[in-house]
Amino acid sequence: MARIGIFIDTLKGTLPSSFRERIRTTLRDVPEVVFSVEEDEFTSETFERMLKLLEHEGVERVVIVGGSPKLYETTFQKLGFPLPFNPYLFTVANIREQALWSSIDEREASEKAKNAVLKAIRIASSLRPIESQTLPLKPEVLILGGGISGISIALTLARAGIYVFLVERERTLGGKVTELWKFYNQELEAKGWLEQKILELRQNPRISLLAPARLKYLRGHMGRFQATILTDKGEETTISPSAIVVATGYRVERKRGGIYDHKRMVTLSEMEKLLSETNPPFPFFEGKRVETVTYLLDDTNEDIKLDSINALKQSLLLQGSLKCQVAILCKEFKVSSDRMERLYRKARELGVLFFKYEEAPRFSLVNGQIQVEVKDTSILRKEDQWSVSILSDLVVLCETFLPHQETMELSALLRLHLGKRGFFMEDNPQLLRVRSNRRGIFIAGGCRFPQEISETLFEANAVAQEVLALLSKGAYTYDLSVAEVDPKKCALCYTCPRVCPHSAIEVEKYAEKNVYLTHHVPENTKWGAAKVDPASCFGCGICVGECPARAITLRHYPDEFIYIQMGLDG
Amino acid sequence: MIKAEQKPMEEILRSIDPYKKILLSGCGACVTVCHAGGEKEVLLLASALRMARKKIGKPLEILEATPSRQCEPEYAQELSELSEKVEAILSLACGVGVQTLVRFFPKMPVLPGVNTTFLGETLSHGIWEERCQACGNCILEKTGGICPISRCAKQLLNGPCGGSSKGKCEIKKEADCAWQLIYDRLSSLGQLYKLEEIIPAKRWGIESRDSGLRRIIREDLKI
Amino acid sequence: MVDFDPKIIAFCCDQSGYPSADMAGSLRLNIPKNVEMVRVPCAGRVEALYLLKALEKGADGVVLFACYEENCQYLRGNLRARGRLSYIHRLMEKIGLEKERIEICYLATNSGVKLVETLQRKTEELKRLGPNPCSEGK
Ligand SMILES: Cc1cc2nc3c(=O)[nH]c(=O)nc-3n(C[C@H](O)[C@H](O)[C@H](O)COP(=O)(O)OP(=O)(O)OC[C@H]3O[C@@H](n4cnc5c(N)ncnc54)[C@H](O)[C@@H]3O)c2cc1C
Ligand code: SF4
Ligand code: SF4
Ligand code: SF4
Ligand code: SF4
Repeated sequence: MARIGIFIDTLKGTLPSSFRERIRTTLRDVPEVVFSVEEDEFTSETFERMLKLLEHEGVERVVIVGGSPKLYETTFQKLGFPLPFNPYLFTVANIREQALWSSIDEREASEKAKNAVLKAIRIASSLRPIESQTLPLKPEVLILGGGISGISIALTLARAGIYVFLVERERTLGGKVTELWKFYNQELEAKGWLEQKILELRQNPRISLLAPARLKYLRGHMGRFQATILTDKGEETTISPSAIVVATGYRVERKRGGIYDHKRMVTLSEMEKLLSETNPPFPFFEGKRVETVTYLLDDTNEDIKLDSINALKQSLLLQGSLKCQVAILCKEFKVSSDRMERLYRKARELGVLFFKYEEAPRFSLVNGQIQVEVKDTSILRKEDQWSVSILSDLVVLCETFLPHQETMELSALLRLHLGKRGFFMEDNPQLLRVRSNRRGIFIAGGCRFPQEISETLFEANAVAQEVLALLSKGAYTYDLSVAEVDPKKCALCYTCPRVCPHSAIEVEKYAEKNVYLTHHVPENTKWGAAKVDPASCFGCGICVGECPARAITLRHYPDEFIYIQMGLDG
Repeated sequence: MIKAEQKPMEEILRSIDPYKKILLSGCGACVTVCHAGGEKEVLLLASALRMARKKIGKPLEILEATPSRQCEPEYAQELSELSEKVEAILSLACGVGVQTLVRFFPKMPVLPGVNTTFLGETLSHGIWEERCQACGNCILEKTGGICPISRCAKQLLNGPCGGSSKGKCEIKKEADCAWQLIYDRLSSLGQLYKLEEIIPAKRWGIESRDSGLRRIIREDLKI
Repeated sequence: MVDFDPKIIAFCCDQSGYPSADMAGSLRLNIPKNVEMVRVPCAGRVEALYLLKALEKGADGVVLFACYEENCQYLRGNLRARGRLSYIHRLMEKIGLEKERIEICYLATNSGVKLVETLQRKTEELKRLGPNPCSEGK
């Protein structure tokens, strides 16, 4: 029989004494209870007193009777653990929020509290210590994608002393930025800026550049990934980074068919190129001066703001120094990026025309130019709305932003989740934007969400900080409050590796039961069953409920605790 | 592997109606993998059956067990002790497993709890599809590795029927026409010439079921 | 209507159900007294078996408090909980138990009011349905 010590938290005396008295009466009949004492609050002094008492009484389990367990869990995290033994050997009976405060009267409250206390004691009796483990982390990181995200993360990490393998599938670094001519909100020329970054990168001895190359296999988990990189010459290198950053960007696709194939219909990217090759005072297209340019911003890209940014950036120049007349037709113009409001006003002052449409504009060819007809709905009163017709030398279309074709394959290799549109998905859109669903793998830049450079750089920095925070201690310490497979019961059905949201389970290569994949088998593997990587497991228990063989247990939250709370015997 | 599906509850209830105490036995292999008869399903079904019987005022006692594989004699025999305590065994193993128990427990009614459906593969989690009918003379070499016996509704051996349309089968519109698949596969392998060879009619009566019970004997292995 | 105090087992995900129950207390809302609160790390920890066992062993109803869709800390715990519940609903129908006895309710961290309303409504519903005819000892 476990020896249990009870601390009743009076919550600074706010628990009525009559209520507390009832609880003590309950406790009197429980044989496991060695002592029950009251404390008015939990501070460092209380902790000292608790420690002495626990040691003196030889108690090995503690129940705190008082407020919500969340309260104590945070206090203890802050102040350190007041127990002379394993921190998992305590539990809480929540008799304030879920009894005293949520009952009709004190009698009902006492009934609920009694139930809660007795359950807590039963849980305490069956608590088992949960040990912690330490995983050494070498300062080595693999970055996939040498675009602006990949480059700036590599530089930040290398400056902080981390060895970086940068894998780029193309011959050149820079990704989309190489196709850019100017950044909308910076005075810099994209090319110069990029060249300087690449120079810095090549000079840094801690950065190994593998290009053109791609990831072929990935095995293992955080701290001991095994990544096989295949170069275009067919050479394979295997590296074992502690963490991985995915920064593979996105691709664009242009609209096709009918008039969209006409040569005077260009994309934002093609326009960008045209502008970078333009010598003032005028832009030329096929030897003829361009005087009117119409942008069509449709809603193919939903919440991605890049089209608006680009159209604005380009039209400022066209309407300003290049003496063109620019019109922008859009459903909505997205101005929520850095300094966009101001640029928008400037464009209007310069005379750029903005039209808002609902029905798709119509295009026709008139003497080699493109006639655009659109009904402007920016005026709210229907009667005042008018149709506009613009004869344009060029019509600029936006491209659709899409994940790279091989993203699916890459996500399967990395065992990462993809979001609805097929881009890599963050673990939590509000809190953990740069973490993936797997511990030790981060996602940055356009492969998660196409956005403009300053946001991309901001995010790249966030990723670098996360990686540094992880690796700076040289090790990752974690509790074994995780799922565990009983290899004798496992039927190798592959349910759990498929269902685990954090890709923390794999079927370990077989030694006893089956021999399927004989290469890459770590030596001495004697498992032959699904195996949880404890450093990668988040302890959610999803796999536990799914396993058809009931071979998985959640070490810190076994069936028993649930049955006890349900008021059943299990 | 063998794929199975739990039988309709009414049918199970009817079959165990005469008994007050049964053994519910799962199997730790094929039927665990297809979530039809592993330990999880055993416990769920047991709980549901007890409740169903409680409701009609005829309480049922159930012992639960899940041997690793019910179709091996040794594993089946592991159940003998439990079987002595009950009036019948409800088995969630495939038909093979059921019959292994039948062989070892001559006096005990052994009832199937699942329909053994087919030999198939997992397409994606929760979706299984038939792949083989154990015809006894495999022709996959000739058909680009696609089995027309299990995947063609008419088990045609030399090309599709006239109902094959836009790559789909006329019998089951959502299913791919096996012969379309065979053609596509051979063409991508550059082996269309294989189609020129006529596949002889299957000798169902010699290689297959129609000649009666099939048996494999390996003299060298006999102990 | 039978006059009885229905017993409910409420599984509370640690990210939504449990803090919402605490919130209900802070708002001094009344959590019906016959409710057993079960704290789980994620709704995905709730096995299909627990839902059946709850009914088998004496509960009249079960509520599964999970996070809103796309809001699960563990990405798909709430979806798996819903999948398991649909399986259990099918089983219940076949053994002649009202599906309404078990429901899933989606909450945020601070949905104290919704939690209490759900439990109170469930209590009324269960009173209407009457005691669980399948449970042991009844
Ligand atoms: C026409 C246009 C104009 C723009 N104008 C502006 C602007 O004016 N201002 C602004 O701020 N932003 C602008 N942007 C957006 C900006 O270009 C992007 O936000 C930024 O380049 C994204 O950087 P990234 O590193 O995430 O991705 P990318 O630049 O796409 O880099 C990804 C890199 O990863 C590589 N890669 C892909 N797959 C693999 C793989 N499997 N293995 C290894 N390597 C791989 C790619 O080859 C590429 O080098 C514009 C975008 C477009 C299309
Ligand atoms: S779900 Fe269970 S039986 Fe299937 S692989 Fe995982 S541990 Fe093994
Ligand atoms: S407990 Fe959760 S994170 Fe851990 S292995 Fe199971 S499903 Fe994956
Ligand atoms: S009894 Fe049937 S289900 Fe079980 S292992 Fe044998 S063949 Fe597979
Ligand atoms: S040809 Fe016969 S043995 Fe081969 S897969 Fe088809 S049914 Fe099975």
